[in-house]
Amino acid sequence: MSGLRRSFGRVPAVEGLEMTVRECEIYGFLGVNGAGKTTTIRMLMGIIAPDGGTIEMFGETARRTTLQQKRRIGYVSQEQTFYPWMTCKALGRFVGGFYPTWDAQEFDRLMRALELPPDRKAAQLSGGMRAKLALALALASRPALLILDEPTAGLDPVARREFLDIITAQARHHGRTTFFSSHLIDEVERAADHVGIIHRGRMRYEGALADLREQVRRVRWSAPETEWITPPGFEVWREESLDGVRTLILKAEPAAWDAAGWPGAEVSRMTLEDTFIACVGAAAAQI
Amino acid sequence: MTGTLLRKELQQHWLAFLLLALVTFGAVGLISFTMNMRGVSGSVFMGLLVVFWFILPPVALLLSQRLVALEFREKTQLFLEPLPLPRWRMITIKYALGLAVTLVLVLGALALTAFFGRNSEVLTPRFGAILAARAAGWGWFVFSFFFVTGFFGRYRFLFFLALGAAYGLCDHYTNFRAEQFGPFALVDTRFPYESTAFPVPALRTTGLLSLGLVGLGFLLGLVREGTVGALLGEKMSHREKMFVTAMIMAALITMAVFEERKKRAPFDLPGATEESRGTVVVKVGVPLDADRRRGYAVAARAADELSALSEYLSLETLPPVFIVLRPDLDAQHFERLKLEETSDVVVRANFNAAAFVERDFLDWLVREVLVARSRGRLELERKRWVLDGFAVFWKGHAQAAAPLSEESDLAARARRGAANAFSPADLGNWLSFSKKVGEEDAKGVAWSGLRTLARRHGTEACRGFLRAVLSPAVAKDARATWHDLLHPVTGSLETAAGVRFDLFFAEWQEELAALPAPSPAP
Repeated sequence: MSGLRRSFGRVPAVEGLEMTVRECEIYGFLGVNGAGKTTTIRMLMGIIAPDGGTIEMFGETARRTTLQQKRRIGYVSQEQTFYPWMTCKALGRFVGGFYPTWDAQEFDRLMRALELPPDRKAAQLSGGMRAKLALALALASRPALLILDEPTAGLDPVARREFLDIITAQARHHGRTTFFSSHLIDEVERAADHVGIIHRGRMRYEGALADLREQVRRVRWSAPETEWITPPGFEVWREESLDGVRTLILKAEPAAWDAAGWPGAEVSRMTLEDTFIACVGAAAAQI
Repeated sequence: MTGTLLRKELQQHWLAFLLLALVTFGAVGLISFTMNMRGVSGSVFMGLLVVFWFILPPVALLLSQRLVALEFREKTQLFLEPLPLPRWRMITIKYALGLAVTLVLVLGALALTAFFGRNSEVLTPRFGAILAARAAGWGWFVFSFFFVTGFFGRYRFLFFLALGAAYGLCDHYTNFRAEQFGPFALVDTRFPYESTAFPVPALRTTGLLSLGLVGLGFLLGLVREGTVGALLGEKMSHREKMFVTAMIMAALITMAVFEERKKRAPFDLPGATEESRGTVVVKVGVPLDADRRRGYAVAARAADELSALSEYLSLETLPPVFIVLRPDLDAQHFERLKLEETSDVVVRANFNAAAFVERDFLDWLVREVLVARSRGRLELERKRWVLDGFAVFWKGHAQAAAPLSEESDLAARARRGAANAFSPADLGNWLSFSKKVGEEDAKGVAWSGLRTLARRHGTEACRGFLRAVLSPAVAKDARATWHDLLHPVTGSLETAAGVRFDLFFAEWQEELAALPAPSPAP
């Protein structure tokens, strides 16, 4: 997607978003609550129209996702709002009516594999079962692209792990492009090949998580009397001083880190969580 | 895609549809049965109006609730949105299904009523088409209205309240009459009887209005990808509830204050002479250059006559009567001015003319006062024979128990009018009967009925019956129709006079048969 924008009234939710999801990869879309993940996904799904920008999907470029494109997408939303009176089986029949590629046998197989009771009403399903049912409904049309909007929100750790494993296995086994959003770094780290970090509607980072870890490091500088000069090619993400110790979080290419000397400074790698917090914190500081 | 969604809607709502059909058709059956049991005369389609006014709106409200508001309230539209299904098609299917169900109910109710009344109602193809057009137009409007309000979400009941208040204000302070307007005119009191003319202007207005409502519904459902509808569908916050309550209170207080200040000025004749007898008020207006003595005398006698009428029928109130001299009017001709928003009786007569017959004027005035007091409902076909009979009966009510033949002229008219197979059905179809035998002879027949009652069962029984039919205070709104349905003329005969209708009619036939053979009508 390119230059994607969407506002609600005067409040911008997504501002000039650029993002590329390659075929067959698992893309983790990371961001804190309210960062613009759901709005982006709703634009991808054609549920809401962007105010500006374009979306290129399956070789077609349009301002808004078309009906034909939607037929090739499987979608799992954050909140499962099934018709409470419908059974799992009936929901399969209903959703299947909208997809020419619907595979009823695959849906039955998925229900069995995910241990979903076919004749139980949606209202009687637990949160985990509802998420699994949503996944089965999304996968049974054999979509080329699977989009999941915080699919594990509200699930307990065991159910979350199980769900992620299913997604990963599905994507790997079928070579299906999978795009999922989350605000949990460990989830993204576990499943995604590629990540995009969004904050306040703007893309902050796009690439591999391992690269991000390599690029962002913490520098402790305990000689405040000496003037600090940021070396060229480094971006200051965060800066703070406490008890005479100056702490900086810098981002640069790994080669730049190796080339730079750090006399009097202690350089350390960070956890992904700290890196993510620094990333969105840097964005907040810039805004 | 359409079939899938349609199947889903039918699976989800079939029980509700079935229950609504049972309620509607059950109401039709119950009303038809009640009308039959109580011997309500007039068109069988009269009862259908009750269904259209009182049953159909809540039915359409429930339908729209199920089809539109429920989807937003349970947020299941979020489940539909990601599916490859255009939003406009989703709304179209819901609208079309709801409209189809409404039309099935409306036309089914019509068909059922026609079936129940197949022995008493002549339903020509044209009459049937007119009834169907009126019913379908009304159904279309009512469903479209509630369909739109389904998108109003949590504000829909507030909207209904505001609309009710606006209607009340319009009704009270302006000359706007909803029942004369577009869709409401389709189901007014002409509905059961109008068998020749299609109500084209009303149908046109209804069509335009319904299309406008549908357009508004689609706008609310589609604008900003339905976010407006979804936002309105949210539950009301505590603060909103407080605000709405405060607004309602403020509106009620404002209306109360407004009501105090804006009492409508009653009709008056400045400079007129007034004659009053208890609650009876008669004013007479004569130009300064005309002879006033005759006018005063007419006013005094009118006041006496109305006072006697008031006592005879136990009328607690009578509308004020204004008599205006109109010198260019034929002395035998009297005219009543129709005033908006009042039951005051304003009449014009040339009472200074030599040919003016005071007795004729007073008989005519008595009838007009009763009609005005009933807001015109005594002129409806099912009560008309009592009114027509009373207008003639009143003059000689003191000798009500005397043989009919003593009033030779009236007796001859009665015999002539009833000569051609006079039956109970003629009382229900009095206007047709009057047209067939002539108005004067029909009045004679009606008079003979009242005299029969007085002769056979006593003057007090007759008086009780007349009071029951002619005296009740009539509500301004649809309650009047409801009252008429619950108190048919035949029922009043039994409860007020203690006489069964079939017995009474047999006695009436005997009295008519005992009259001298009729001479040809002059």
